[in-house]
Amino acid sequence: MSPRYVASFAFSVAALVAGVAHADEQKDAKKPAVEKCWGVAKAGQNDCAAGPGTTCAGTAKANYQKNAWKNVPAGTCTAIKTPNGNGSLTKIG
Amino acid sequence: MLAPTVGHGAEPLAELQRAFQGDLLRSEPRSPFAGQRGFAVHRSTVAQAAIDALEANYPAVVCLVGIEWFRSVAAAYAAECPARDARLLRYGAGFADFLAEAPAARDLPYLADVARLDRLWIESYIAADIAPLSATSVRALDANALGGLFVAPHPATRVSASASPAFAIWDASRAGHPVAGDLAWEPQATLMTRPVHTVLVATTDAPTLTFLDACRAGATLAACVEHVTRSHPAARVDLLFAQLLTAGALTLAQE
Repeated sequence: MSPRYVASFAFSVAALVAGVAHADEQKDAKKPAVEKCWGVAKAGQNDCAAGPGTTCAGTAKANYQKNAWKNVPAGTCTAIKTPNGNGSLTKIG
Repeated sequence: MLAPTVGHGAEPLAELQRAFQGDLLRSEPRSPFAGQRGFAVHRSTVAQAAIDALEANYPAVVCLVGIEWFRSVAAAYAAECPARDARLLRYGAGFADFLAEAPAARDLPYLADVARLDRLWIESYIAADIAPLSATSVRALDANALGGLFVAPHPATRVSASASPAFAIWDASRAGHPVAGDLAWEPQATLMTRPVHTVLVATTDAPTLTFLDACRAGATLAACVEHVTRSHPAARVDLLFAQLLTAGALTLAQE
């Protein structure tokens, strides 16, 4: 290891250490409170696994499919109105 | 109603489906399907769905150009690049490049870059969920281990450099606001990250882009810093690294 390399390595590390000292935890690090809400996702906007015919996120075939869920802010699910009734905290049907 | 027969190949079903799909997208359908009224309705539904998807995927562009102009350009794009994936959230990957080439958008040189930001937002939103490198975990390392660490951009990290103030225009338009009258017309680079659920968007600078490029190329953290100081001697690498850590832009590289 050449002296020049050692010096630049030390300089780089010093900048990194200073950077770590400046850094904050990610503001988003605490997961926001969300709840799985069934029956409110529009077609293609479900968050994940929704039974037969859908494998994962974004694959629900119909609007407000009752076995497809979407993450919504905690406490708001059952207040969400759809043409088929309100959202549900449990899988419907 | 029985489907009309098309051809007599070894795989009649595959051939039938190919003819059906081809006619859905062709401007002048020519298979036996074309004569059926239901087929024309379905063709129109498919075309509208593609335009609706682009409208949903490019909200800042819609806000800038207005719904009518947007839908006519979207129709031209959809005719040229039909959806290849049923997940329409992913549709429109080439729309920004299409806008850059479109004669109708020649007077709006920033439009393609704004569209690019709409697209990068979606890419960041649907990228893999991985815990980003956190300030806490890095703080536990001693200085030499920190310098020797191999990091990579987080899967949800996206950057874009524009010759126009694309971030300011995009940010206002995305919220449905008019762009500020005192907008400084200067190049802007944008950094998007998604440490957990929410896509975070901020302006960034050339040294940060250089740093991320070095990470992507597989350099150690110390080598990334050296790379930046060589090309941007005045850069504050400590602040740059702090911004990337805080934004959750990095992750440990896969060995």
